[in-house]
Amino acid sequence: MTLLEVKNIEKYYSQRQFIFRRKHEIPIIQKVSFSLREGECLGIVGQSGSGKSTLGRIILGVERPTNGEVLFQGVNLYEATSKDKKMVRRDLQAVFQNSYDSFNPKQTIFEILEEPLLNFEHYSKIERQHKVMELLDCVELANTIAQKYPAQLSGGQQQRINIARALALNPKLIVLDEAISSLDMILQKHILQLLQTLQKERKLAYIFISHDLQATHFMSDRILVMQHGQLMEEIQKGQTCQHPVSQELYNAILPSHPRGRNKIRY
Amino acid sequence: MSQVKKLSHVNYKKSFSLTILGIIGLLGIFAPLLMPHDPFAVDITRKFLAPSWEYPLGTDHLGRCVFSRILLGIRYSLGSALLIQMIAIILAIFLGAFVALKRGMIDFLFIRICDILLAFPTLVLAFGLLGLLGPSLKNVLIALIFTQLIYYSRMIRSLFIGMNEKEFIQAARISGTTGVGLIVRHYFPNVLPIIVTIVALDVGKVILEIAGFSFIGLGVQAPIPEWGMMVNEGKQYIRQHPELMLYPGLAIVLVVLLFNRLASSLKNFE
Ligand SMILES: Nc1ncnc2c1ncn2[C@@H]1O[C@H](COP(=O)(O)OP(=O)(O)OP(=O)(O)O)[C@@H](O)[C@H]1O
Ligand SMILES: [Mg+2]
Repeated sequence: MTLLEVKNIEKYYSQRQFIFRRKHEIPIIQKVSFSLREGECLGIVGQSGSGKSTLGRIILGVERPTNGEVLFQGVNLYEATSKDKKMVRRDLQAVFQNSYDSFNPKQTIFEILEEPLLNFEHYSKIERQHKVMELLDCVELANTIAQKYPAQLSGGQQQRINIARALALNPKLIVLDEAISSLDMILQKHILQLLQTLQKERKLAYIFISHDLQATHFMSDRILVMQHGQLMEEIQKGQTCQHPVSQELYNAILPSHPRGRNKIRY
Repeated sequence: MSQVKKLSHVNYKKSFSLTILGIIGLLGIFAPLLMPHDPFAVDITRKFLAPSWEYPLGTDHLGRCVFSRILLGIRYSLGSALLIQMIAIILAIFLGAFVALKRGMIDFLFIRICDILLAFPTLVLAFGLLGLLGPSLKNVLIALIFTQLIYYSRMIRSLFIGMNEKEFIQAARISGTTGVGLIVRHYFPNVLPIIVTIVALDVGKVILEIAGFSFIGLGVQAPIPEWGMMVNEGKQYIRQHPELMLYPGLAIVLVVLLFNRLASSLKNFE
C-alpha cells in the first residue's frame, strides 16, 4: 500500500542578484515525483547542495513547495485540515541533519523526548519517565543524560537523541537526513540494525538521506540519485547504476582494497 | 580566565544594583511606617526649615517634610514605572504572540497601525493621549502603558517571527506541538532574557517620562509627592532654596542610573 506520494514537486528560492537587477528565481527542486510503500526504505543520495535536505523538509510538511503536492496516506500535507494534520504529524517523523539546531537550547533532554508524548499520548508522569528511559536505552544512551541540556552532549549523542525523539510516537515514516553521520562505525552499525529491526517489527518506512553510499545500500530497497534538484536515476536493489551521475558517485567510493577500485557493484 | 573575571564583574554589577534597588523598593513599601511626618501636612509657620533631626531634609514652601515626601514618592515614581512596565509587557506578550501565530491579514494590519503610531516619538504620542484624557496619575499610567505596549508588542512579534525559521521550531511542530504550546515551550523561554533586559532598561526611561509630565504640569497633580512634581514645585524657589529641586532630582538620577546599570549587566550576561 502506498504510504507517501510525491507529485511533481518544485521549489524555487528567490534571490536578488544585485542591487539594481531583478529578482531571480533559483530552482532548488525540479519536477520530483516518487512514491513509497509501507515498510519500505528509500535511499536518497546526491552531492552536497543537490537539494536532498530541502526535499526532506518538503516531505515533512514544514516547507511549502512552490508547485506540486505531497500526499501522506492520501492526505495532502499542505491543504489538510488541522485534524488531519495532527494525524499525519503522529505518523511522520524526522531526524534532522543539524542535530543541535533541532533542539530548543532551553529544554533538557528529558523535556525534548517528553514533548511528542505530551502532545499525543495520555501518559502519567511516571509512564512518560519510563518511556523516555526506554527510548534512551534504544539508542544506547545512559539514563543520566536526561537531565542535561543539548549543548552538554557530544555530536553523536545529540544525533541519537534526535533518533530517539523520532521513534517516540511509533511513526509510520521517518525521514532520516544524515541521521548517523557523526556516529562511530560500531554505533552506526548498531543504530542501523535497530532501525532495520523496527522496520520489520512495525512496518516502519524510512527515507534515508545520506552521503554515505555504503550505509544507504545497507538500508535501502531503492535508491534515488539526485543532482541539481532533479532525480537522475532510480536504482533497484541488486541492480547496478547506469546513469553517468550515479556512476561518478559510486566511483568516488574508496574501496577497502586499492585493486577493487571501479569494480564496486551494488 | 578573562571570561570568568568578566562574568564575576558583571555579576557584581548586577547584584550591586539589584541590592540597592531592593532597598529602595522596601523603603517605598514601608514608607508609611518610616516617614517622620505626614507628607501632606501643611504648616506655613514651618516653611523652608533647614535640615534638622526633626526634618532630615528640611521643609518645603508649605512646611511639609521633604524627607517624608521623597520616601512616599518612591511609590509614585518607581512604583508606577514598574507597574507600567509590568502591565505593558504582559499585554504585549499576549498581543505579540497572537499576531505572530496568526500572521496574514491580522499581522499586516497590526504592522501598519504600529508603524503609524511609532512614527511619532513616544513622548509626543503620550502627550497627545494625556491631552485627550486630561492630567492625572491614572491617565499618565494609561498613556505610558499604551505607548510602551505598541513598542513592546511589535518587538515581541518580530522576535517570535524571527524564530519561525529556527530548525527547533520545525522539529517541535513535527513533534506535534502547535499554537500555545509552541509559544510557552519554545518561543517564550528563548526570548525571555532579551525581554527582561529591555524592560529593565526602559524603567529608567519611564521614570523620567512620568517626572517630565509632572514637571510640565500634564501628569501627576499637586499634593502627590511624585519626584517630578516635587521638582516642579521647587522650581519657583530655585534661587533661595535650590535644594528643594536638588533632592527629588537626585533621587530620580539615582534610580535611573541603577536601572541602567542593572540592564547593562543583564545585557552583558546573555
Ligand atoms: N533558505 C534557503 N534560501 C536559499 N537557498 C537555499 C535555502 N536553503 C537551501 N538553499 C539552497 O538549496 C540547495 C540545496 O540545499 P540542501 O540543503 O537541500 O542540500 P543537500 O543536498 O541537503 O546538501 P548536503 O548534502 O550538503 O546536506 C543549496 O544550493 C542551498 O544553497
Ligand atoms: Mg542536507
